[in-house]
Amino acid sequence: MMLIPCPHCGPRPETEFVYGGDANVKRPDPAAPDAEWTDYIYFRDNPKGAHRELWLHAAGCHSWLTVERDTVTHAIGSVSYTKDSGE
Amino acid sequence: MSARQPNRSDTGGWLIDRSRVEIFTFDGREIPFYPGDTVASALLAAGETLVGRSFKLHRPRGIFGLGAEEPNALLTLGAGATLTPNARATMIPAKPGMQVSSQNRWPSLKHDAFGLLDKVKAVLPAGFYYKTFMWPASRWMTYEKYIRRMAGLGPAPRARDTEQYARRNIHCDVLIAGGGPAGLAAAEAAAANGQSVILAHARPSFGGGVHSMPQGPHRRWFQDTLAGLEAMPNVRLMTSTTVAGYYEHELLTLSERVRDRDSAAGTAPTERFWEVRAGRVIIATGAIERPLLFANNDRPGVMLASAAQGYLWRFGVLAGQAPVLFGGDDSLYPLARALKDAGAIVRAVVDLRSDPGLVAAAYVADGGKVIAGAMVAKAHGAKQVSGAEVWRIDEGAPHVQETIPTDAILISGGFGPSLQLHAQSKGALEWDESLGAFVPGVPNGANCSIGGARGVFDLPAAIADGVAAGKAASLPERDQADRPTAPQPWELPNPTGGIRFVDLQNDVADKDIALAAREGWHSIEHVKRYTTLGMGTDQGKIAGPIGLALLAAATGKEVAKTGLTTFRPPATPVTFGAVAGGHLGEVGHAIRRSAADAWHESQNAVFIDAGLWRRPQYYPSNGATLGEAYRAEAAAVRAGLGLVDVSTLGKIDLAGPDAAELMDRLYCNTMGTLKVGRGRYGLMLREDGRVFDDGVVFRLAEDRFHLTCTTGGAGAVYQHIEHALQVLWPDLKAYATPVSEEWFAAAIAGPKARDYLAAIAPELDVSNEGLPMMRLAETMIAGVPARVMRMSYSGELSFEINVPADWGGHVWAHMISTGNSYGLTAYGTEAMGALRIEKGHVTHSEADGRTTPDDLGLGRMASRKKDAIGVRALDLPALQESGRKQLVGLVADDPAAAFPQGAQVTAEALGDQPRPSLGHVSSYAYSSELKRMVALALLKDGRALHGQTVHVVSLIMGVAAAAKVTDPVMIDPDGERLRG
Repeated sequence: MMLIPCPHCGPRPETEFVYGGDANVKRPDPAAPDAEWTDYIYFRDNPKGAHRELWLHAAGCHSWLTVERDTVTHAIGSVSYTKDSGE
Repeated sequence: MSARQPNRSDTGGWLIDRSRVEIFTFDGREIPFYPGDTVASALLAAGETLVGRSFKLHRPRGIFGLGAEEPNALLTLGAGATLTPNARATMIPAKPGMQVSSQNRWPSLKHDAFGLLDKVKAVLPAGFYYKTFMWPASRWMTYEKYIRRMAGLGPAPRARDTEQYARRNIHCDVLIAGGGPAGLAAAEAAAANGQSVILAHARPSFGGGVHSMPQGPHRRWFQDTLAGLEAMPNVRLMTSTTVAGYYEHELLTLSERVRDRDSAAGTAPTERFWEVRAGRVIIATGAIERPLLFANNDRPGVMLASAAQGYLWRFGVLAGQAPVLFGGDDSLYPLARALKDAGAIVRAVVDLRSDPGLVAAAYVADGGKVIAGAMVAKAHGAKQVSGAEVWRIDEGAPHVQETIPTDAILISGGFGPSLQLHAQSKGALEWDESLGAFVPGVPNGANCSIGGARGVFDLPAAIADGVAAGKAASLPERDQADRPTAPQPWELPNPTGGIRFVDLQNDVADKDIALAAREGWHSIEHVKRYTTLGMGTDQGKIAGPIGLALLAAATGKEVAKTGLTTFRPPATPVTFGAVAGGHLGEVGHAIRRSAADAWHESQNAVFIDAGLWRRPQYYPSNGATLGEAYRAEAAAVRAGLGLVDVSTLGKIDLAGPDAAELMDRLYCNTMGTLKVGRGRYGLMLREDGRVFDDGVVFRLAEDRFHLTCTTGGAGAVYQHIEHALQVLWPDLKAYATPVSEEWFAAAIAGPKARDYLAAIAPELDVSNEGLPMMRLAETMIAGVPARVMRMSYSGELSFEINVPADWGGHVWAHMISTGNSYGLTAYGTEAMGALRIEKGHVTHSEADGRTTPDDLGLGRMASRKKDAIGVRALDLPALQESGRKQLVGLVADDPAAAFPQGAQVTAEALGDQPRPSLGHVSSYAYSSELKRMVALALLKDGRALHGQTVHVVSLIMGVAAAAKVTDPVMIDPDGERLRG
């Protein structure tokens, strides 16, 4: 079970979190064409190795976090508040 | 040696206390033992070589190993409420009065009726069950009960387990798995550096391989090291504790056996299950010896040489009075000498090497018998080995040398590291050709394997490993020279053609693996499942590597490229009781109760789970059944007045200057224009256009909304809102607070609802003008401040009343007592469901994650004038196509017809032809208004079918009923009842 270092609560076990998917996808403008929306809704990369992803600390501070995780080793790099990512 | 312990020697016995003799029973016979014995060592000492029958063929089996790798000696401990099946005799300490029984035999171990199965092994090859019982299904029904009786291990206990179990969580700097010499050295070195250390050892006493050796300076080292560790406050020493699982980021699970199940209870639990989060992990779980294959290699008396060595030095027990040793390296000779010194007559050492070298020569010079360039090709005897048939294989064609009378064949095919924990942590594995074994490669996570667990078998080298690992230094180079020159056991010929078992526990023979390969199963994962190789409770600790090599040979691949099966926790079996801990029965999971729960219970309500909540499903007055009760409750609502507890509905308070803007983005319909004090039904969509949740929203102030959502969806909706606020639009100034538990909520519904409301809320103007539909008013009820919302789920004139949760019980009681003169009837979720089905209101049965607003007939709610989650997807072509399933109502033609559970809908009645499905019934109920069954259904282009007759069918239930397709709103389509 992974240990995710929440910037607000400290390192906490994975069971306190809810996975939120790929952090790299950006919601398109409503005027964007169907293809762009289809891509956003249905298609995700499945990288082997480094991955930026969203986790909600649901049993903690309820922050959505952007977590860098290696999908092979589960090693966790940086963790930050998603709302501060300024993207 | 005594008459009762014929195999007990005066030599060895480091772990036993010879000062007193205790007794346990095995199949009713008294077995004497010394404190410190395992059940296995005591049985061996008493000459009980036959201890069980094999899983599939019921062949007689004896003790084969020394520890957790034991495939045969699975026994049942205790009886009744303390019965534990499949206990490993090699791991269970013998205790006075213990009741031990053999398994999988009838009527007795020595005379087993199903032993005949062994004679028909030819008709039970690999995949037999797959091939035989696939079709027709009815055949399986006939065979199953016989097969279930024949196969299997111990009986599952029938009585409820009365024992106590505990779960603990703990952190440490270093967790060391295995308290042999390497683990002890590692613990000492890590603790000396000031780190907090847990040393877990599966057996009752530390030492491991130290105890399988004669007297020597290592004993002093062991005693001093252990005494040093016991004195250190930063070391937690855990015996009888198995490290069962290794999970991500160094979370490990430990199973600790605290006391015997049938011993006096006291306050201690039987077992403790530990979750340990370690800074780093040192794996010192040792190595496991490989057997050698020959015909009838499963006979009682055939044993791993290392096990025989262990039984001698640890327990002073001889594996046999006249053993034959069989192997291919120098380790055989010290063992042969030790057994001889301990009183055994060593018949011969059969050495695979044609030129065994100096150690063997010295043994011969001292009068020992060595047969070089030879193998044991077959074991004679049935319930006990009686002879070893030795064949020469070094020159020309294999030929018989002699058959040696013997009662034990001790075999050694080299050692392989115990890889379980390293592999569970997803560390890489490397094939070591000279060792003939996989060894740990690059680790994943903060761990390292030391000593035997990485292929270092020499005692000083293993201790050096431990010291280095304890200091977190890099490990010494593995010395290539000190390794035994192991033969490759899978390469041995089978000149007699007899059966050779690879997996003793599951009765998998070498020819089963060859057959699987011939039939096209080339992946070890497939072969495992097809033959059941390695699928026993020993997890194939012995069988796995050999089966793998045999498959590699059969498919012409290198062993290294054939790969291993995935290692999964637990490394050794863990009881369900230990995993469950105290989470049993009433405290199995948390229960959320409404403030009126005590009243529901006083009315003998039947409860139904809704998430963690429990809700009254119906109130069975006068012994009414579910069907009778809900029909009466629903009819009472339509005719007069009903009261239902709706506290479980999700409630979220949304506030902030941008709250209105956020509402517009969360709901597919317009919410920003809602006036203060008014409410509106809303739909939330997922970004893919499917309905996510629904509920009524009230605007409490310009910058504040009160959202309701479904009971089951409350948690997910809150997360969804936080996602919108923190991920999608962090610039919006608003915040959400879940307030479900803040409020007690009850709905009153029925023609008398207004009169009744006036009585309980005398300060409130309850007229149509004073409190129109979808309005919120604040007033006092039963002396408590309350919100009254006029809204309806049942289709009747209805009000929902919210009061602070702490006052819920008080207000509910007041409502019940005031309601008597109005004929107030409490109703449960089943009647609520029937009422909403009649009105075509959807729940998650209809909004099932596949349906869009338009599918549910709510397409007009989705506003295209703003950006809201999920609205853009509604324009994608796939959601515009014809042929989508649409919500309709179904009304049974025949008032007596039943709608079956899980029904499909067809256009034509079922004859003997299959019919295409138009769709399915999502919800159904008896309509007290229409006096027949009604249903909501999702049918292909269903709105075009209004007025047509369809058939509601269930092939499983054997039911079919004709029904008319209607609008989902099946009663009061104009909503006149809502006005009251």
